[in-house]
Amino acid sequence: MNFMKALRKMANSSKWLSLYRYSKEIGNLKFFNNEQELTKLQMIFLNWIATYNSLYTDLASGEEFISEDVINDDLRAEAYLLYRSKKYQKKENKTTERNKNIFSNTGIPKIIFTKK
Amino acid sequence: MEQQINEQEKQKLAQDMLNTIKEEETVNQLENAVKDNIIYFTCKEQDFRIRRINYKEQEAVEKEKRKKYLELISDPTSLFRQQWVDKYKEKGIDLDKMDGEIVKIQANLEQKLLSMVGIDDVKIIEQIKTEVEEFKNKIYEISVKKADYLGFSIEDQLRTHVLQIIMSKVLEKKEGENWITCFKTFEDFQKCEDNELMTKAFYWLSMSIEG
Repeated sequence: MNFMKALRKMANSSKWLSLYRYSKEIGNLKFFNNEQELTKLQMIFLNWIATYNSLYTDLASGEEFISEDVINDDLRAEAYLLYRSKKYQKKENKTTERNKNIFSNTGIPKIIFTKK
Repeated sequence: MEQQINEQEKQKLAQDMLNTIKEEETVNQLENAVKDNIIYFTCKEQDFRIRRINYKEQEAVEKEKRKKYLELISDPTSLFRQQWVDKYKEKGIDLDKMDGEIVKIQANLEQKLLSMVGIDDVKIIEQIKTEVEEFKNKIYEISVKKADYLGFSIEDQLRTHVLQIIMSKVLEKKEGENWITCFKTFEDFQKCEDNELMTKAFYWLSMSIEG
């Protein structure tokens, strides 16, 4: 089993995911032995735990295309994460476009009249 | 015939169990590496650790880095990465084109990954996975090739030198209850011929620090 695969398996384990969730609620619960100067390995690991936590949140929220099978399969999870980031990007672009129409170069908000 | 099948099944189960044990060992080793910012490992039954570099040592490393940088830029045979890229172009090797290839393959890889979303058919998923792995391998091959071409650049040589200096300071071995630095000086480090120790130590050092 390669290193990154093992790290992801750890990050997706109930032990570490539970510790992550509890450490957010309980102030003095230590996630690592050190409180500062995190290593690159610890940062990568934290990133993966946060990612898997967000996947389970999506699952609980009933989001499309996510399931336990997807979460437990590395490539399928990557595919879902890519799909999700593209979805959020599209939403952000739409919001930016909408905001562009509201504010002109003068900074004074324009009123847009639409026909019903 | 039945005995043969049972024997085969037994071997397969034994292999599966061995793989599981190896996976557990890797995970246990990683758990130990992750839980602290000091990374412990074993080599030839000797305990070692990579500790964090302190401020005074960091200053000493910066000083050595400056000295090495001056030495490299004063050497007319040492070239920066961009200069190597230009040199290779004269020889018909286009490293910028390699970057373009990686971007193209990455785009294809992403398209393939997206095509997997919402699919439940196991056969289709396995087919897509195979294609994605091929793309990943191709990207890896090109990246390694490019890194090999640029291995002699000033930037890469400087980076290697800095890592070696850091390693000479932070690698410690256990003697009794105490941890002692493996190398008293950088020159001692340079004389070390234990390839297995160096491979493991540099691997864990790369996991400890950025860059």
